[in-house]
Amino acid sequence: MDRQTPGSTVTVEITGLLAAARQGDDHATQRLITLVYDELRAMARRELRHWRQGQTITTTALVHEAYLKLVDNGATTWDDRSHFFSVAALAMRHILVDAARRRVAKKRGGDEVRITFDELRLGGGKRDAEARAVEVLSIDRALTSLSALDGRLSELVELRFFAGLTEEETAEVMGTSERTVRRDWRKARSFLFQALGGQAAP
Amino acid sequence: MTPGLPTDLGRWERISAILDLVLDLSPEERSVCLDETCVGDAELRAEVEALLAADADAGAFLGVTASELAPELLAEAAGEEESETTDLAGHHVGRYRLLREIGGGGMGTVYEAEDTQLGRRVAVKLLPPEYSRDRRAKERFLREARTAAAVDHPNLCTVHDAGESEGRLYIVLAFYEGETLRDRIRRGPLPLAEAREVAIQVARGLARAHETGIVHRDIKPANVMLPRRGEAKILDFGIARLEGDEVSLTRTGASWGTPAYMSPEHARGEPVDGRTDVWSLGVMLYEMVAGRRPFGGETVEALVSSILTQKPEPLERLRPDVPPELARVVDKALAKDPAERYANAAELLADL
Repeated sequence: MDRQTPGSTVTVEITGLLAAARQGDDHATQRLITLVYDELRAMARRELRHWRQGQTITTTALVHEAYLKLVDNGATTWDDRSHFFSVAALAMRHILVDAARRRVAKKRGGDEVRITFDELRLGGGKRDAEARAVEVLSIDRALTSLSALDGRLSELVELRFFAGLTEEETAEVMGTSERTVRRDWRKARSFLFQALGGQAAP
Repeated sequence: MTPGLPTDLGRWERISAILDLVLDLSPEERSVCLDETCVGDAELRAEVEALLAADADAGAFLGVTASELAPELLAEAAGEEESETTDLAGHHVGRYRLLREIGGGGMGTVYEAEDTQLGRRVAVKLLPPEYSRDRRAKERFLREARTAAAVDHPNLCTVHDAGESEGRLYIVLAFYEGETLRDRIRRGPLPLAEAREVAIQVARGLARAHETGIVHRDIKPANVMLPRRGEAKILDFGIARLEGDEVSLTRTGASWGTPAYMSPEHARGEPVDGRTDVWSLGVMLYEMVAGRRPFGGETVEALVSSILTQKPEPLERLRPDVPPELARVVDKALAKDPAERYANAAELLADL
């Protein structure tokens, strides 16, 4: 296990930042996102070794592992836990989107291609790594428009899609019922689907 | 005309509240509820209805998490550079020495290789590195390779071996000298007797595979080898899945059949069985005889729409010497509704 001992520098800093963020300190939240972003990437790097030995790694696993390592020290409040997962989901979104952007830039010299409507709906068509990266970027862009209208729906998508939390966990983090999570998910998905379909002209 | 998405905050709040009310209602109840809530505001109603249509139409969209959708992104984010498509000729994979690249595609690269132990020529297919990182994908791949290796049939490409070497999954196949059906069709339509013979051989291979519970899902001319000696071989059970393993197809997001040969049910993302291969064989037989495909389109959307709705131009019109029996076989294989198609490759074979 490479779980850090409680009381290590990062853990202490995160505990402090979570408390400050809870008081509405925006700088604390920003710092928290950066810290979690770096931690998640570092953890992913360590996990790469295991990948070769045939273990699987997902954002879901990373986010939960990060929670255990950085936050869970017995004295954590429910608020801290929720806040941590929100931050980790946002960080995960940045991590994946940054990687997608690098991949597309590398292949296309910065020229982004658009995926077609049917590729989205059918999950089909040309599905190479580049097309997948483009899809992640398109979703990210549409999500940014959604967040301008409805921050809660966009957070929901971050938790479910980018961090890979279950409906139950998402409900817990957002402090709502699973039923609400399911209904909000449909609203968010419809919005994003329409946003992407609208630009699908070939 | 689809109305645009709302961009105004107050507007969105109203729409969102209406969606809360109507999302779980039946179409009739929805209509009544919208009559009341959107009274006098046709634009509002159109916006709500556009979102409801998107809800109904979203299919598999966002059905998987980001890391399932694009597993390689996490690895890249962690600082690992994707190994570019380098030519691995001269390298060893297990006990096989790669000689030259002979094919490639989204699902991996194929090399002509030498089995250093048995001294024979083989084909080695290397899967993209991301497959090794996903335990479930790996297990599935090895399970499929085992299943395919257990099936011995003159019309199925022989699977010799499979394994993992330096983080890459590979499968070792018999090496055939010859050309693929795709190359053959490029030179023009086939004589009727030859087209029929190829279709019979492919159907035999499929019948055997279906009997074992394997659906190929990606039958297309590029996956049919016409060796210089011997019978046609179906290649690449690479994306074949064991029947009943539906989840994997929609969840890996890894590969989908070539749209031109894709059955309507497959295109709609519905569960598929052996009848999807029957369809693809029908498309292939049509193409062998007519020299062109039954369904086409400039874009993926147009092609899929043609597959779902269009009736292909009758074969007899494109090639008057086609016997009616053969045209009937193609028609039945290309029934949009799987229930009206041949139930399996063996039935189609009987009619050929």
